[in-house]
Amino acid sequence: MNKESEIKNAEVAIVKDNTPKSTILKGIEAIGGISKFIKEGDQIFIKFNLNLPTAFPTNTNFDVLEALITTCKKAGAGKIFLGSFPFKSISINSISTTLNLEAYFRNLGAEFVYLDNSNLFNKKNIKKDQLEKISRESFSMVAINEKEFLVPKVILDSDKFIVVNQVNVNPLFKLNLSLLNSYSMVPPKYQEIETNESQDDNYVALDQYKKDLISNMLDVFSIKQPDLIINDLFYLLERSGPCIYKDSYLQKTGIMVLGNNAVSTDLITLKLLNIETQGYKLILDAHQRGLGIIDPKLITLVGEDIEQNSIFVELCASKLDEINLKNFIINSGQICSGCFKQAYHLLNLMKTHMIKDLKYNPRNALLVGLNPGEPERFDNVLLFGDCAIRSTNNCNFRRIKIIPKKSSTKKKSSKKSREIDLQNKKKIKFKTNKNILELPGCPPEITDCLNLIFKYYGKGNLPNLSLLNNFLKILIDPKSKEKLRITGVI
Amino acid sequence: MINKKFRENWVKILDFNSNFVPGDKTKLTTKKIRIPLTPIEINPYLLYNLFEILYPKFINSQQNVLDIIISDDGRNILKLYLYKTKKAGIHESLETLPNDDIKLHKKDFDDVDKFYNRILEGLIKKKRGRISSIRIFKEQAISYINRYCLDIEDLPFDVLLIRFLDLIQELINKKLFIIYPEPKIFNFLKDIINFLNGYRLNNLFKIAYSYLPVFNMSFIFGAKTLTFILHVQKIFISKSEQPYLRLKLLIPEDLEIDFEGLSENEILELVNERLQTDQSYFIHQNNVISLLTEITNLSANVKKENLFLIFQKLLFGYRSFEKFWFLKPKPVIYNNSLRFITRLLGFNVNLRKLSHWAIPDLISNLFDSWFGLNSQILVILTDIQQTKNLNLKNFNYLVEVSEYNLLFEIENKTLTKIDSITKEELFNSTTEIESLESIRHNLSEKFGFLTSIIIIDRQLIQDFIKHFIFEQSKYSPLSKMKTLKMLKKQKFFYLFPEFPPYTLLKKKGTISFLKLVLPILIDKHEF
Repeated sequence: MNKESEIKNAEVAIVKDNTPKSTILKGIEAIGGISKFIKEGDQIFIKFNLNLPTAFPTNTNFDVLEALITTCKKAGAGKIFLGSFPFKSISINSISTTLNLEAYFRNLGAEFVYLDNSNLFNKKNIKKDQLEKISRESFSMVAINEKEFLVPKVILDSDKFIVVNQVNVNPLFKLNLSLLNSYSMVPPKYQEIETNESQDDNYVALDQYKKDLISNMLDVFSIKQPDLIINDLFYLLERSGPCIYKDSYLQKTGIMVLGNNAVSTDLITLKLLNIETQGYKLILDAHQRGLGIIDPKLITLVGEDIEQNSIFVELCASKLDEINLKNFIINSGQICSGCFKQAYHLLNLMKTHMIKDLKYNPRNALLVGLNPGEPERFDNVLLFGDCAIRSTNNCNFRRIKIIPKKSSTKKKSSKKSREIDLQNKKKIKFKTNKNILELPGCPPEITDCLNLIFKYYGKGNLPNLSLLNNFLKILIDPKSKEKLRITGVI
Repeated sequence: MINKKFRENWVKILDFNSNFVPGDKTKLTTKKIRIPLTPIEINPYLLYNLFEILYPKFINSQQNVLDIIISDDGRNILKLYLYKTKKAGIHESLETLPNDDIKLHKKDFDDVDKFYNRILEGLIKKKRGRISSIRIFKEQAISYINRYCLDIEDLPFDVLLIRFLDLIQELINKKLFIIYPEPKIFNFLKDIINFLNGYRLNNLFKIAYSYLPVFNMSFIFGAKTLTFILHVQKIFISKSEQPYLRLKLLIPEDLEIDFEGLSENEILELVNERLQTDQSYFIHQNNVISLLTEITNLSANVKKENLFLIFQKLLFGYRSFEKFWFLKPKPVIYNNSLRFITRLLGFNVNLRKLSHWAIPDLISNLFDSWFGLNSQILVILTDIQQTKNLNLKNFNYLVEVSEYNLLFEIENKTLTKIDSITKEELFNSTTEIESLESIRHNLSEKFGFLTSIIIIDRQLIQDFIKHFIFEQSKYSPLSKMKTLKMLKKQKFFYLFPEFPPYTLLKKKGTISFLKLVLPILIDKHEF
């Protein structure tokens, strides 16, 4: 763990050039050259974005990685490892197979590390105890602030730790900064925020989820701080991100921000992108915990001028209804960051890959958060998350009026029958509304939500989701998922 | 100065145009004139009509044009020709003006707008009249045109097209021709040539042409004023080894047919019978023109949104069978009983319900997800017939069978560049090509990270074009299925690295894959 006293100075370089390769090389030169960071024979670990088995910019630009590996090799680096943990349920093997990463990095002279050991999952007759043993051998349990984190030994044992971070917009933190990138050096299970069912409403009101998340992120960050940080915004993903969605757009800025301290590098990146840093909790908390410098006077800034290169970025939707999903009305109550993030991804995923499904199923209402209110004009109600399910138990939409059938033949209304009608009017009957889909979880898992949606609407009404499910089956193998559980990754 | 035959033909055109009285069909003669720069002989009335329709839409909608021939160094005016046009595009008379009517300045070609306005003022002062457009040819352009015009009458149309595309590329690349105001179509051509980055336009045509099967088709372009027929054939003539492209433009009178009062299907029936074609299409002229206008309005650096908007319109046009277009013989798939049986078997193939609104989005979003917003994709077009011993254990066979290697560069969903990669660049190492990763590694060093490599064999493309485009009238589910099955075989199609959609295609049976995909391609509701 680094202590505040250890952070003597922070150097940050803003560089601009014509290609991603030349920009990173220029950046490294600007902060003193690679030999300032790497000594002969050093074992290097490069942590990059490896979220999904999709292409750039969901994952880091491979041209940048190639330039970095070549530079490290020139500086005499010993072994160069690369890796990261992807989103939950997806094995690294699945990503590597889809993008052919292992061979690609091998050809560059570096080793792609299956941090989750998923490359061994396909070995014949591999048993549970063998997997547990492999897990014990490849991970170390690190305790920080009364929490325990499973950290790959290869990261802990490396002499130098470099973070190459693709800057994309992010629904919770506005931008994917290097501090967020560092978080996925621990398995998804250790990135999850523990919530318990008996949470009171204050949990949501105070957005305890985000507080816990930031605290967790900084705990992980403090385990192994990077020696070199590269915030790559040469191509900046804006409007909708950090994955590739329908509204995603790439802004070519030609800029990268490099530094020797993640907090300072992220701070300068935020300033460059005109994001308010005064209330940016992640950076402030990191500073308070002595993990970085935020005082501009103590940051040595080299390269391009911030003011002259200021970039305006279109951030992603800050409210769920801004996502503008066809045939969906979105009612948000008090919502914590956990549910917001998951709902944001689910809605964007639907907008991107379920265009036809959305058209086929009109008049839907998605209720998220605490007390989301009564939906108006709907055929189907989707309750997203435990809060929404719990707080709408007594809502009117849960029940629907039974309209008594009128007799087909008109009879003369006798006095008796008029009395019966009057009594019926007084006793309005209700039945349970079955057109409600509950998507439980705190926050709910996206893959689970998709499965529930598929069951609820039916295959015939969801041709896009049928196809998407087939892709997901290829990517998320249930056997691998089980093995990831055994090895403690998820 | 200009080729004699070209000039003589041009004079004939002017002569016809100047004597033509609009609406006077008695002017239909048996005499033919050539379309300028082609050997295609057509009825002068049809040429008049084509100019009348196309020139205002694609070149200039105003009257009178001035042609300026200048020396190659741009210092002297060699000739000045003024064309008076009563209607835009209808060149009627040619007047040679004295060269000193216009003075050339050094910077005239840096600011053509200013130059044009000066010419306009000068001509008005000298009472030559008002012009709406100038066309400037360098002397070398005339030499190129003359060289191109040599013996064009004896050339098959495919060879002529190759020469014509070459001419266009030379004129634009060497800036030998300027037109002002610059029409969008000219801008579009310039964009395409810049975008090809030195790659020959005629090579693209050669690739596309080589994939077309032998065919004999006619297209009837219907309009109130004049319906005309385009007869296109790719045929073997006598004992020739190569098929030739033949093209004829006809008016109904050439076939001794009167279209008056006939329905589209009746017209098709007659034309098909007279020309003995395999297929005849009827399309309304205004639909074709509006589509062409939209295409030429695109920038060559095609933004995906624009490209998919056009794709959406094309699909909408395609689904509007017997509304926007007609085909003879009528495609069997539109037979309701057959469609009913197909539906009973679990396939909904109602092409009138093609999801024109959903298909482009589906493709676009899948493409973005799996290839990324920035990508470099290498397409290797092969011809496995070139080798007798095809060993698919590794990829060494590619050295022998690769025909064309094209590298597509996409930046922020926009196709920005196409590069042709030579065999030497592609297989520069002598080592075995165990995996395509070695090719990716080699090219990535030079061009940047290569996202994907796609190998497509000639046989697959030809079969696809044949069964899905040229044989639309036939039902032939087995041959269509067989073509789709080819996508699963490495020798015909291969995608590296294997993305989930491709893995799914390979894993699933063709029938179940179709059942999965058809509900996305075809709308559910029949009403």
